[in-house]
Amino acid sequence: MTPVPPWTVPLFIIIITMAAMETMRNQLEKKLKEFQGVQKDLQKTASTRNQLDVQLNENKIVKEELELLETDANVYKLTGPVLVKQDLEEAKANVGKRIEYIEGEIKRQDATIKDFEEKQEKSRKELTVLQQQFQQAQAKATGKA
Amino acid sequence: MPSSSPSLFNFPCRLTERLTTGFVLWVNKVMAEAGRPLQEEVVNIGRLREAQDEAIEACKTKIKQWKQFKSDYNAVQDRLRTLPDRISYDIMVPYGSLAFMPGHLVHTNEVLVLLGDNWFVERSAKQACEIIDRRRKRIDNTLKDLKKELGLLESRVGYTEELQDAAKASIVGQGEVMEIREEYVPERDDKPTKRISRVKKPSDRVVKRPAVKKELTEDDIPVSLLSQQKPIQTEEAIWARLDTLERLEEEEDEMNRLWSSEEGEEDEEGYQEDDEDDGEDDSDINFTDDDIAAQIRKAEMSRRFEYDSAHRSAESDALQEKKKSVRWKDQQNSETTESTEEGHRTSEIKPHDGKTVANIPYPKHVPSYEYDEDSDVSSPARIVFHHTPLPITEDDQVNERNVPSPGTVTSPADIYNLYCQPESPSLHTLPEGQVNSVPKVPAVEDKPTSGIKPKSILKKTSSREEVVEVVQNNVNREEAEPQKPPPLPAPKSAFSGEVLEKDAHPTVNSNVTPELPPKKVSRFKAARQKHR
Repeated sequence: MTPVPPWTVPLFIIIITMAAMETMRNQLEKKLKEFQGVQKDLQKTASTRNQLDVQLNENKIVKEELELLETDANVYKLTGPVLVKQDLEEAKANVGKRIEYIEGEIKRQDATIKDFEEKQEKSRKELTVLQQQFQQAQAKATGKA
Repeated sequence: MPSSSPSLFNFPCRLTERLTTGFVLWVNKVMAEAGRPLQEEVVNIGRLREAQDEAIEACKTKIKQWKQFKSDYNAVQDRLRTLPDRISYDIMVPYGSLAFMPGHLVHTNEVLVLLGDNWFVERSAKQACEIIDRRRKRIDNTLKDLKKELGLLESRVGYTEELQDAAKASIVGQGEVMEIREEYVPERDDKPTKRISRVKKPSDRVVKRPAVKKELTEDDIPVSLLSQQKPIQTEEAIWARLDTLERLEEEEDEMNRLWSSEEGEEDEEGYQEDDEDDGEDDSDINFTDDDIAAQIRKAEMSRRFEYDSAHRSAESDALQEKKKSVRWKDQQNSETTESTEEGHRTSEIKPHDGKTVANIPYPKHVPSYEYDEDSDVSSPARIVFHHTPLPITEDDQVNERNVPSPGTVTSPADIYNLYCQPESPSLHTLPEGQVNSVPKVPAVEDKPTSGIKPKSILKKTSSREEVVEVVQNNVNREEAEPQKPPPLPAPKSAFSGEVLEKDAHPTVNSNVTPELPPKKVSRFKAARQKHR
């Protein structure tokens, strides 16, 4: 092993610490990206859930109005460009089914949202820890230098 | 149908988005620089504020939108109401987006209503109006919720603003709100302020007094003795004078208390305590040597004399002196140089004041209100109402009442004194309207003479009757006048009629008891008793 001159030792240390810093920095960035990804997912699911909520409300109103109709009223359904006449009872049933479907969807979405929230929290914690470490390393490096 | 639910979910999403981006940026910043935390805080708070403002704006837009919907519905309803008025209308039918064609609007009563989710229903115009009413109700509810939300958001903004100001203030020079900091001055606590003396235990007073008294003895007694104007010889006179002067002093103090509003509570407590600890006060007064105490009392008296004269003359100078003189006990040490002998005495008189607080007559001469502004003990505006004790002179002691002659009735008291004998037991036991067997006329004439003596063996009628008969028999009384003034036990020629003397107590009792209103007994009980 070639004798290392003593005055290069601090230089090596600096180099080593710098490398460590780089890795740390990379790690931090990665974690950050992960966090951001989870964030986006969460937002998406939240918006879908919102939409479902709106639909549910709408269908509920339709159901109420259908209840108020007399039996011989004409009900039409718009499917594409066509307005098709429907039976009142049939319409009521359809709307009821739709409501149930939407409620199910909402429940599913809620579960996904919860998952994403947990993931996000975990990711955030990891990020903070890493960031602290990074700070410490930085402080040490500046102290040494 | 437009979305009817307020998208509350959007708000937290947006906010969290902002917050997380903020957080991310913050992390980056931390990575970049060492970081000035305080500055960061301010920045972050600023960002929070921005997010909140955004949310408020969103809420406001929503409200605006819903209001628009509502107005649209109202317009549609109006149109629906007028539509069935005619069977057909001549209109220009829109063809596509750019053309119109003349045509007719028929089936004016048939309306296809969109219920939601691509469901239509055929309704009459009136039925459609009803649907619109229901929808409008829903919109109103939504608007109400949105307004509530807006209120909440705005309150949140308020908090954030305060936080901002606080953060800015901590960074000195940036904020508009400056924190007022006062350095803790320990020296203030060294002074025996009123606050400390508030805890007025007897021990405290005891401790304070000797110091004060000693000061008095050293500095003031010789001067006061010299300045003694009126040599008051008799002890009773001294004490009487002392009491009156004390009362005046208390008046002054009360006024002082009322005006030094921020200083009141403690002294009030002290005064209350003083009321209770009268005995201890006395003992405290006798704490020092008797001769010193006597000298102090003389000093007080002389001082009070001066005080009285000063007040009566109502000179501003005298009052200015009083200004200095009215000092709280506690300020003794701090303001010894300023206060005169009077000041000391005032403070020393304090315990006395507490003792005789109950006897304060309402001040007739109102002392100056420009009292010690330096004194830092405040008294709450405490209004104590007491009856003014009538000055008791020697004459009064002997004659309990000044019985005036009938012609010189000047007040209701005179009437009472003239025609009633309050000490007489017989009068009290008699029920009202009860007349004894003594003939009325003589009894009336008897009144003036017998009214004077404290306890007459003669029977007296009720006061009411007396008054009535007095009015009627004025002449008789005038005859009795000359004999009335000397309070003689035996009536002389004033009473010409026959004097029927009766044993006051037994007869009264025997007369009274059967004459009392019969005890109410139920009919059945009475019947039973009768039966038995």
